[in-house]
Amino acid sequence: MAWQTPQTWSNELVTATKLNREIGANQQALKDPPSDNYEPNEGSNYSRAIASYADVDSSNLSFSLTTMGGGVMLCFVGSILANGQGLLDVSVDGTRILNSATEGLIAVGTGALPRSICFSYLVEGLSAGAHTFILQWKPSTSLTMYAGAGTANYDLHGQFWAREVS
Amino acid sequence: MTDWSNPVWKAETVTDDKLNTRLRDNMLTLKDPATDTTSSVSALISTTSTSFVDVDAVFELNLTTQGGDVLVSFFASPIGAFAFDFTLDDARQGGADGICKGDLEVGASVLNASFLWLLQDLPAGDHVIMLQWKTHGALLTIDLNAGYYFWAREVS
Repeated sequence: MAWQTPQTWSNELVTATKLNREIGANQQALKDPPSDNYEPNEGSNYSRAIASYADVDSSNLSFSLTTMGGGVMLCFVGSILANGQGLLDVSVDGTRILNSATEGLIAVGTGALPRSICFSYLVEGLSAGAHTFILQWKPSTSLTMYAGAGTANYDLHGQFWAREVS
Repeated sequence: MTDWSNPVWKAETVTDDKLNTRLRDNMLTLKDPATDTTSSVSALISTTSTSFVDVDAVFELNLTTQGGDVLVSFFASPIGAFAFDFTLDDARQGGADGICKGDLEVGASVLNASFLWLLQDLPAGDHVIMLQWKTHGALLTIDLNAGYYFWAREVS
């Protein structure tokens, strides 16, 4: 249910229609804002070996929310093995938050073992309407994200989610 | 704690009871949703379990929700190879190896573990959330003096 800017009341008859529009609908909108989440449980882990930004999973780690205008919170938790330091970012309506080829929201350190990664980010001031949020990554040499694919000792289910919070 | 009521009005007399139920109580519910957090303790807790077990009674959260979404958050600085997960009403949420996992590399003394998890569409009522862990090394320890937090909060 969509949020509507509440009217300023002035010397008028209070009707059921007005109460439902001004109070009921707005309460429902605050109670149940636009939100989406995905927990990867795939047939194979995600991987990338090209040193440029791309969608991790353009179908599943990608959300379209129709918001009421305000802030959206993003969050990712997962485990990633990096050969050379990698970067993660989120594309909002086609533009990455850290819109630079050499920057990201968070780095994944290189190593022989996977790293547990978690970040949250508040996107502020979005206009009312449809918005897309896509998790993206860029390896230095290669990145592997464990995606519940049954890899021995790394059958991990992370999560990516987006939610309007104001 | 107040309860949420479906705020639907029809051609009816507006009474104190209706305003209090559909307006006041709903506003209070939105302003102060169900929340639980870990209590503060000072201890070292350890496990050698290689299968998921409850971390400690300190990490049990109890919520009575109105029906909707809940955020669950955890962070700590474990010493040792770790995997963390949590159960919602006795059902573990992660994969066979949990939600997050870390390993001690040569020269490392402490790791960081954290997650912020969105549970959607929980039915109204009582829910129990319990942090769980396991190790794939010799010993996993959390020094509760060194900073930790586990909380859950209804967000819709």
